[in-house]
Amino acid sequence: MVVGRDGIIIASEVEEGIDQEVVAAETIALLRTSERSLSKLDSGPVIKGMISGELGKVLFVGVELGLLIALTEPEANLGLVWLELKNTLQRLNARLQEEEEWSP
Amino acid sequence: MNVLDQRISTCQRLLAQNPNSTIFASLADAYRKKGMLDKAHKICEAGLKVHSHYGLAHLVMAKISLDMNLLDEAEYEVDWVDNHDLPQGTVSLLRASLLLKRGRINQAKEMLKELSLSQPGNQKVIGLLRVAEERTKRERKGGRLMTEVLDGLYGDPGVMGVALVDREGLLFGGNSAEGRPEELAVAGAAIYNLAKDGMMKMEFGPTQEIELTTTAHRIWLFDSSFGYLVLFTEKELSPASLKLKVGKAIEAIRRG
Repeated sequence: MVVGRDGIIIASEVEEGIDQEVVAAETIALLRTSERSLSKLDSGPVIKGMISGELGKVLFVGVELGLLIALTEPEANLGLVWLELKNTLQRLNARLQEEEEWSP
Repeated sequence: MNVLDQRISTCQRLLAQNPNSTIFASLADAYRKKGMLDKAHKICEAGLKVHSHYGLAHLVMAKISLDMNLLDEAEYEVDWVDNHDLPQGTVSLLRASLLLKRGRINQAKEMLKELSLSQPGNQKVIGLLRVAEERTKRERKGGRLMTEVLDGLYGDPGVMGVALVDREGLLFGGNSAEGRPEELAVAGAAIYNLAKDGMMKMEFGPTQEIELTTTAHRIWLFDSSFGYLVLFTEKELSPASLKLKVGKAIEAIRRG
């Protein structure tokens, strides 16, 4: 999923039964709270994160538009998921740059 | 529609009719009571920009900040209401909650005992006094073991801070390079509590751990029987060896 900083879904492909609106809103809320809470520790903005639950994991990386989010099963191979997120992020950035170059 | 939803709907209607109305404070308080703290904070913050001298809004903001564990912000608001002629009982109760969250338990207890004399039977005062007594007992019991466990983790290369914190953000023990384990504790509890609610809403089950990477550091949060274990590390620290040690530390805390 790609979610804007306002919590609005820009693009998504998720399994049936997952409420994407909830995922988007909760992940953005977590990002905001984290950045606000961590600002006291001079930590800089959050660039990626992972929340592990008993029934699944939420992984996210920051993109220019907001967040790129992946939802996985609890036993997923995290190395592969992070790699896929990194590749998607690169493709997304390249596409955005392309669009910027062609915009009037 | 329950009472809170009705209140939100009415406040929203009134605010739409008159965007400069002071009803924003009631709306923010209703969202706070519903647990929608981020939204409550935004509404109150925006309203206070227009009505910066509206005392009740500062009172609501103090409560929201306390619930969000934004303790510096909460302290500012409690000071503000303290200096602006608002009901002293409410202000003292907020001050006592703040002291509890800051880990200044004895000071909080003194204030609560005074309050219980002037307001006998006040359930909030009684509840907070009970919390304070419980924390004193827990601190005595777990103090030595936790110091050992936390010192063990803090001694690890790359670990810049470690804190064990209860679900309210109260620090049980910790160490940090900048000498501010309280900040770590408060940040950790705020993040974990929000993630925990979010994961339940997403139907991903109880949260087990959280890992966040910032441009400069990494923060790790784990649930233990005592509360949350918060680690603040260098960004490049390897997770494998650290997680093994954390697992042992949590086990030691659980056994203790």
